[in-house]
Amino acid sequence: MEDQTIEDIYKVEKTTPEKDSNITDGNRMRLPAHNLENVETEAQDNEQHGDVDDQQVGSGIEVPIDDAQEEHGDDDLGDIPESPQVQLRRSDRQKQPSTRYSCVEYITLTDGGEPKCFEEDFDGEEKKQWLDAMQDEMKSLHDNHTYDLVKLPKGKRALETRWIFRVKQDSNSTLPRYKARLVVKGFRQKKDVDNEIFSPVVKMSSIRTVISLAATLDLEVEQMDVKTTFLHGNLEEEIYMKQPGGFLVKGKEDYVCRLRKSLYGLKQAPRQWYKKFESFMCEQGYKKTTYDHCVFVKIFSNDDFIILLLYVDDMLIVGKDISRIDRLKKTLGESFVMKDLGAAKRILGIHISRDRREKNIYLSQEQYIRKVL
Amino acid sequence: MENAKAVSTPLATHFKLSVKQSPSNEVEKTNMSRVPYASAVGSLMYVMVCTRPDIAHVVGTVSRFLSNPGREHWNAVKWILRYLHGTVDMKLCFGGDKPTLMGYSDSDMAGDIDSRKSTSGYLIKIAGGAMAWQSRLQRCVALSTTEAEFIVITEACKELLWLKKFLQELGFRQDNYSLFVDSQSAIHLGKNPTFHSRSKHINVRYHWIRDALDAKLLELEKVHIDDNGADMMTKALPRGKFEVCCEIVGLAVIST
Repeated sequence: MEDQTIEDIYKVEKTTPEKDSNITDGNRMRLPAHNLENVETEAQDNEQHGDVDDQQVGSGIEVPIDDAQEEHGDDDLGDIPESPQVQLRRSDRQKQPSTRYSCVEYITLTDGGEPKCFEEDFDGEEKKQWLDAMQDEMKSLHDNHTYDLVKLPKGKRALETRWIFRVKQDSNSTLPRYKARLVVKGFRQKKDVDNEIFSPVVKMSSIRTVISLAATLDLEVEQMDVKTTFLHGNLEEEIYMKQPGGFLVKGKEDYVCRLRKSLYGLKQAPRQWYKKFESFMCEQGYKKTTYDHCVFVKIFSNDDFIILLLYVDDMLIVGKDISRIDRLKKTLGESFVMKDLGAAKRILGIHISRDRREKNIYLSQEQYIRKVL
Repeated sequence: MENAKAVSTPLATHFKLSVKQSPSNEVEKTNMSRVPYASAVGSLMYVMVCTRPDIAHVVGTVSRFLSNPGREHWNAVKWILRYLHGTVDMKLCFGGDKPTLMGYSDSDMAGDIDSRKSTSGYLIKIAGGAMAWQSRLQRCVALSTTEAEFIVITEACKELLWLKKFLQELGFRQDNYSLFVDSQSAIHLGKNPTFHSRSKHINVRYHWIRDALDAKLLELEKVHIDDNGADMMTKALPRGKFEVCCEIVGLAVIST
């Protein structure tokens, strides 16, 4: 990993097969907004296109594919033997982007002038910040042992990757943070029962319930944040991805990455993360409530308890005894890379303010509303 | 929108939104396609789901026209934005009270101009603040106000029971759980299974509430219409009444 250079960018372009790069270009145009948290939704949107392609190859024409490969379900587009009579036909209909939901509309809400893909960003003034951000992300992937470099076995297909860039403005510092994240184009994954999309989100009313309890019983409300959430989940399936753009390992350019941990964009990612977190909480003696699966509770005595709410990577910890909460935070910090945000101030764009003397908690979305207006 | 004139209610009574105001020819449609209707409604929806039960009814109304919005519908959206502009510092407040669950329900008979379906609205309060709410068009056409109320009660009860069990799991119990309804006849229909020609068509699923009442899972209580906070979940209200409802659900301007 030492000799990652940016000159490798051009190699990436060369290594991607012609056919695939067409598709990715198309997708790039159709992806207007780039919010890291939204990657999944985008992936879903694009899934349809992937399916159409598969059908055109699979069912439209009788192509002799050997059975073993079909069972794998991973048949590569390029692997289909060519025979003179059969010609694959691509639809020659002109693809038109939807007029109603034009790119411009979406961008108004989320766009902060970030580069759309990594080939494009290196002539701007912020070049250095973006490069640092990419190095950071690569380091965290490495530390996590996210993948091994291997040769792609026959009959398997490697998923494309892509860099997503984002500028984040912290509430307590004036300097913006530059973030880069590597994602897998999970929408190219085949549909399966195992990779059905699932997100560990707590219900809004559960959040409000717990907040109201905290208000009346004068409980502590602490917030924590998991860094690189989805990288924590272990991957059971065998999934390969191409090497990240710009970071090809010298001498191993044709190798692919076999994923060990789940990565953003993979359909399994949120599920694996939830599985891991759930088993961790159970080990700690917490009980998952049956009425909301993202609420964990442990009752120590009559009115001494800790409630933990999980919203993908944000968590609220509510309890009476601050020392117990600290202990929980410490054990959490040992197992996951966490950021302690102290007393909760903001969750999901909702501002939490409290008046402890009057035992009141106020929720407001002033900032969000101002942004919309 | 910074310089927009603020308004005091999210939907004025002069808006009579219906499908008829949707554009019918191509020119109007292309005109409307320049308006970010869907994303505006989406943003409003997020605000509504998180902290603002007061706009639940209007957001529900304007989102019925998402597929083909017209000029008048867009005006209504702008009106909501103006309302939010005026009440941007409103907060949902919890505290002061014991954490007891209370439900309110209300319906608006045949409120939708196009289908003549009724609107159901309920909200559930705990510790002085609203914690669950819903405003939606009922799935079937109700023949009487009693029937419309009866359908809401079922919906509200389901939510109330879920919250009750959730709180019990967290270790909180209370003696009785009550749902406030402003229709005396709906309460009677729930308690007393008399057979009556005016109610015999009501679908079996809505009679589930009788079972729930028999099992003493919760109670229905009468509330005067002026004290029913769920009133704003079903119809456009005049200003005075609207402010009372906001106060009931714990929405207030508080400087911190």
